[in-house]
Amino acid sequence: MKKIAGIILVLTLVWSCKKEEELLPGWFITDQVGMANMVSENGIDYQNQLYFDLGTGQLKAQNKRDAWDLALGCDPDHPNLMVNSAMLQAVAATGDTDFSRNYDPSVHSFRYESAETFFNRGIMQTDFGSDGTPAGEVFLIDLGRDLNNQRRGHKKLQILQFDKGTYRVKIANPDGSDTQEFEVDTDAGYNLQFVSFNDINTVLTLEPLKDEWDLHFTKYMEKLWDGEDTLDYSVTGCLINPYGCSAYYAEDLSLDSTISYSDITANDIIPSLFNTSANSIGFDWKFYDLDAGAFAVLNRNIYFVRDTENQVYRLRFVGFYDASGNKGAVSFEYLPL
Amino acid sequence: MKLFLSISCFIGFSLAGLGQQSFLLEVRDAHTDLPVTGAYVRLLQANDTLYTVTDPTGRASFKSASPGRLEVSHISYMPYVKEAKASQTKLLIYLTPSQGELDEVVVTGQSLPTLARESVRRVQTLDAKRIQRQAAVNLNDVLRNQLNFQISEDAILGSQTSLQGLSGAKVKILIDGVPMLGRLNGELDLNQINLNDIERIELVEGPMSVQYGTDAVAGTINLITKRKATTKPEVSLNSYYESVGRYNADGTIWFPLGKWHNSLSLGRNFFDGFDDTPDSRSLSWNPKEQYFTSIGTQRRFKNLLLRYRGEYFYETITNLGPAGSFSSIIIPVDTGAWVYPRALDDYYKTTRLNNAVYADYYLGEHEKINGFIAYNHFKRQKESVVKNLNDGTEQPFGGLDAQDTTVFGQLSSRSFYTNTLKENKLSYQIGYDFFYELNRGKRIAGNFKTIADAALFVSVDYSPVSWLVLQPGLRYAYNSRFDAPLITSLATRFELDKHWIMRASYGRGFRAPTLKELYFFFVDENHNILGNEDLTAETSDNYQAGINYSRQTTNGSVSLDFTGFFNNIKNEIRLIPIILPSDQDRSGLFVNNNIAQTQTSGGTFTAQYRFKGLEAEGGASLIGIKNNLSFSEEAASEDVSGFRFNVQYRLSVSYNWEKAGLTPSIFLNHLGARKDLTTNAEEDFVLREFAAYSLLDFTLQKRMWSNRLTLSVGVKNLMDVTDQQVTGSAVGGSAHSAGSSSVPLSYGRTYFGRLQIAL
Repeated sequence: MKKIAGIILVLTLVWSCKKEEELLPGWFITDQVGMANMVSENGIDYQNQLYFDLGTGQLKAQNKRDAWDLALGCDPDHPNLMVNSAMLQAVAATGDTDFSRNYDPSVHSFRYESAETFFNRGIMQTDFGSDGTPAGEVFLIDLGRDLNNQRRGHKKLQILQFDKGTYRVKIANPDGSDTQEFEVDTDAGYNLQFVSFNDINTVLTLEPLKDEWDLHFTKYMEKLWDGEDTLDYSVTGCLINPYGCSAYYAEDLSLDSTISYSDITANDIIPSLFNTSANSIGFDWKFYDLDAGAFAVLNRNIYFVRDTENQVYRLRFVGFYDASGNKGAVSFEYLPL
Repeated sequence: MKLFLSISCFIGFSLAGLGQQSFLLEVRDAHTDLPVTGAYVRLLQANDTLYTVTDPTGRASFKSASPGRLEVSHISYMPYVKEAKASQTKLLIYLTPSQGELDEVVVTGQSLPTLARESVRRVQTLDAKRIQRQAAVNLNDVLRNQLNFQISEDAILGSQTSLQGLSGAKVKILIDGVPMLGRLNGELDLNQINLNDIERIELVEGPMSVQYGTDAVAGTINLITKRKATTKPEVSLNSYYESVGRYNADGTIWFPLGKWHNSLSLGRNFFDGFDDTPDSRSLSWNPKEQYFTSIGTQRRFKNLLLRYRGEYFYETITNLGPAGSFSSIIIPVDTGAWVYPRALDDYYKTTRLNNAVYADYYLGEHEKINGFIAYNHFKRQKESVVKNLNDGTEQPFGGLDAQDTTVFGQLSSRSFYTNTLKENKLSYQIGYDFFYELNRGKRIAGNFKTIADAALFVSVDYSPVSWLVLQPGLRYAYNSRFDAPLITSLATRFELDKHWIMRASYGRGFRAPTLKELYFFFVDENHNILGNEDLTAETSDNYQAGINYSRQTTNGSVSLDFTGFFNNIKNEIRLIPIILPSDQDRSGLFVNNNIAQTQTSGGTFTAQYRFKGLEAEGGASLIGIKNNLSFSEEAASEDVSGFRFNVQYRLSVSYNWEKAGLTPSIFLNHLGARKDLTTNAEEDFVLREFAAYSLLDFTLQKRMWSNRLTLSVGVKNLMDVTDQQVTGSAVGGSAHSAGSSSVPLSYGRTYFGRLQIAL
């Protein structure tokens, strides 16, 4: 009996278990909170493109990113055409105006729409002369990848006419099959209106009126330096409205750990730093933590945003995952100063 | 009175007409139940003394036997004495192996259990005494204090080793000859190899691919499990506490059931994690919990010994993320929002299930068949969960690779037939080695692949003159996935005189491409990485030569050993870019290819000295590495193409104070600075220097209760080494940049206590 007692004693001496973790309290933020839910269904990332208005704190519009292929600028004096970077679409200028030729996409070099001049200046804008007359150069469009990451093939496109916001465009497969012509009459109340190549006869109004939104959440293409070369990467981030918005990343404040975000006031704003580039907020308020295998949000990154109503806000991002742990649920806090 | 009865009985037998009764004796190893050859048997009778020696089946007989005192002795076993009764015509004797003497019996790569000294190849043994004195829990603890081994630590993948400068992917690890399964990125986690059920560890440096096939390139580690052929139940209990937060307990029971000798062991090892920063949620040394059990049974049927061993192992590694490592939950309310912190936690669960049936069959005095058939199963699950640190709820995380299960299954068998044509002159061994492996998991094309390999091998022991043994070997294999290389080896042993032995060998080793290397598949928006079905095996040529001096005296022994080696490894598998990433093709294309070459060379000197209770062992080794980058023309022009050498010293001293039942021991292992050639992002050469460090352990053992209870206390890592500094300096180019970092080695100085009870 003594032996057994001894054995039990020895075993219990070396028995330990994981301690129950102490729970942590939450905290309250008094700034306004914005959310842009790009979380996808069925395992497809960042399906949505969203438009957010800071003044009303409202999500003004959202669409699936595969809803459109061609964006048309609505300014009657400044024609502009863009393809859908969120679908990894790219454009190659052929240098040729003969639409009937059989073009081989593999011999052309494709470029993605620039993040900096997003909304304002697409690659195909070069076709328009100073008076807005298209030169008729044939462009090849790489239709990118569908939501299941499958290649979608190519189209060739020629701009036939532009007249005070009305475009006439011809598209076909590179070998000339499935040629279609269509006309789009745009509404100057918007920055862009859209067309899907699946249904060229319907003009899509996906964007809210241009003076009613400030931030656009989407996947887009960005040039990144990988240590050797600049490469195009598909990123997910926040672009600003070209119609009156400007913003900047307050680097000094962000890096100064003695400054609390809640203490930032209008006095901290440096007006000369406001930048109208579409990607002045961009995507790098988060990074992919390889060890964790998840994105981490840099909530010390502080931004100032001037909205379409000329109000300046302090803004920082606080979350990238929803309650179920799905990525693309962007949350941010902001306060008019 | 007893004697009188015995004599009466004997007379009775004699009267029954059995006067010329022969007395048959069988001598076996108490641990393995294998026959003991060459045991010296003495029967002291009233009027005469008879002598004989056991044959290869462990048997000996006396033509005419009358009662007397029976003495059995063998250089590797504890002496055995018994009063033989006249009634007995047959007697089975179990000899207990003696430990720590110069002449230890080894089995790795041998056709029959052989004295280490007489083995054609140099076989080192780390016996139970060494394991106990070092208070080693797992294989990592022992190899940390072994020359030519270098251990590295990873929070997730565990402890990995390199031998003779070659990575653990090129080290074969066997349990009783059965290959261990579950290599992640080529390496086995040494922390998962517990020593509670291990009798001794046999190490062979240099390739043993003729017998053991793939991975036996740098060396082979064979773990020999504990076996006991007892007549009454025996129990051993073991508990261990280490101040860093390790709590281990295990126990084994050996019990006979009829003619079956059985064992059952159970254990749990728990580590509650460690970090330099107190109260940190994320720990640099992750908490670990292991449960393990094994059962064994063995029985002899005349000339056949059958044995089964089954083993189950389950480990959970908990890798907690720092608080806030995952996006917080934001719950907006009218005046703002509530934010609740979350963390991303990973659980890594490993399950191992090993089953093996062994058979040893003696066809005759000079013929024997040994073999096993085994099924091993390995499962590794990664489960990432997002934990709400406010309410404690967890939910699975859906990120890339957040949930992952890797499964390996292997059916294997190896058997060989040994025939001694002429005792001590000519014997040969012919056998087969077979395995069928399946691998299920992400990143393998189709998520499932199998591979089969069947090989025939033959090796001959030929001794043309008494002082020379030649051991040529050949292995021919068929593999279902690639062209298996033809493997040859030649080992020689020269006995210059009683004290001096010289050994020289050439051997070819190979490492087969893994299913993952063959069928790797990782294609998405940003990646395009593929395996390569056309891969062949990595092959090595190893040259080794050594000389050994040993002398045994009445109270002690001395042994000196010097060995030099050279390894040339070709066709090493590396991932190479076929298409570099560009604007046109952002992911490029990377494919595995047999492209790299590595050479290592070096020498090891060891000395052992034993005198009465004192045991001292010391050694030094020099290892030189020339990695793949060193072979490039650029390396030659930058003058960095040579071998890079590093030194290692080891010393262990212990003194057995028998009267007090006390044994103090110290273990010192010093690893000198080591340099490694790599390239930086600009493709310039960088020489990384890994700083020198020393590990020093002290243990004190106290035996009590007539050796049934052993208490050990001690300090591990007395010099409190935690990290190894790594400094890099660019070679050539215009920019000279230097960087510094560190790699984890240990959690620092700890104190331990261990209690072992044998009932």
